[in-house]
Amino acid sequence: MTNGVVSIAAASGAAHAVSPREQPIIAELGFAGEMRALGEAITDWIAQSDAEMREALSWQFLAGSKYFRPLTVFSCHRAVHDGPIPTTVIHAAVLLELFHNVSLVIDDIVDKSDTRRERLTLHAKFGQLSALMTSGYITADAFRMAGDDTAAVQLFAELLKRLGVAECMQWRLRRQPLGVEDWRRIAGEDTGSMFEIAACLGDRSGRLRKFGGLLGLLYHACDDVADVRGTTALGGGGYDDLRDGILTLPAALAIRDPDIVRIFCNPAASDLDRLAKAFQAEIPRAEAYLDDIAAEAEAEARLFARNPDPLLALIGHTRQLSTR
Amino acid sequence: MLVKGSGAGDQEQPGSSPPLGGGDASTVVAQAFLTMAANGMRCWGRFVQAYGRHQSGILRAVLASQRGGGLTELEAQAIAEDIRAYLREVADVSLQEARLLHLELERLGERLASATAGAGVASAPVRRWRVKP
Repeated sequence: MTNGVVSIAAASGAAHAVSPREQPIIAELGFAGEMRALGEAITDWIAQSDAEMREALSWQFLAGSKYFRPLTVFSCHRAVHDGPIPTTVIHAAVLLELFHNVSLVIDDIVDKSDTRRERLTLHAKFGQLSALMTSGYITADAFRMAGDDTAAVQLFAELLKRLGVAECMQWRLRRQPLGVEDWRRIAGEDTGSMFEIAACLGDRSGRLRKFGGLLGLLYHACDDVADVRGTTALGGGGYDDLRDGILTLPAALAIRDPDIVRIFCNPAASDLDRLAKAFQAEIPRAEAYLDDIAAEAEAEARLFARNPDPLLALIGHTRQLSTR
Repeated sequence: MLVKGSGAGDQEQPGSSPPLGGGDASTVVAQAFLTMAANGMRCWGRFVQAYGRHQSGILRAVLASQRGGGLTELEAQAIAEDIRAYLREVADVSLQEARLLHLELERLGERLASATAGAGVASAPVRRWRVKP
């Protein structure tokens, strides 16, 4: 297919493994074949990449992925169209996964995270220069592979711009006494934008864009709550956010308390435990807020999808991530 | 906070308008007016529901304004949060209802187009030009 990326061929070399936690939802939604094609496409692309980049790309991509964004692309397509997922949509999902990994590489550098899901991050393994250059290589090649799909090019450009804005906004606003609405705006531009684009790649009419945004918001919120709980399901770390004064959902709820907001805005190292406990105390309220976001997303799915079932399944799966 | 009880789920499913009366365009226009009226009323109904969810914050703001202030910083922030959430919900409702109306009117148009396709009206435009020599 387009630029030879999607080659539905016999498995060649190391297949791109899907995280075991996501296999049930993939099976439930009936996208095993599409996920296999996606994995093979990424493996093929790495095999064809410049030799200088191949080791770093293999490290980044071939360790297993949640593949949640491609799953969203496929589900949004299925929600509006009948029949098999076209190769154009699979191709778009491949490219989205590439852009997603660019954001992961940059996030890990900015957050100074040496591990992601109990594995060395790209910059920890190969150094910051290599990680930065690899992310640039991925970006350039993903745009090249989008080829003459101008709508997809526009969507990917929008995605990268919004992610950049979100990261700058989040960093600028750290340790500020902000509220839940501010958290919602930041999360909407961060993870929300990624899933909005996923929805638009699945259904080019844009009808499910708002759904995608809400799914991303839910995902981001579950990530925040899971981090505060101390789980590792979503690959991040709660103490990184505490240390950096990042506005998470539990933080936005907790800093309504004047004592906590004072510490949050100007923490000493010895304050981090107290902050962590204050955030944990907000988990029940945060969970209730997650339920509200999920309800919004469900309403969107039922109103605008011909077949909302795949989208409802995605919402259900995402909602559980806060407690893993 | 959110859409539960917003009434969006109570509305008629998009695209389930009653059948056209013999492809009559005036019937479509009438149905469009009804759809627009229903959409507008549903929208206002949801605005009222959103107000109800955030009534306490709005009333506290009004009372504080009448008293000439007197709120602590924490109280002022809590009220601001509540009102911001209300404004966002109202904006979301108006966008969602606009999208629903767009969908419904689009479907009415499509049904009119397919109803009139076999009535001697050409389904595709015919180009009436010649290439200049």
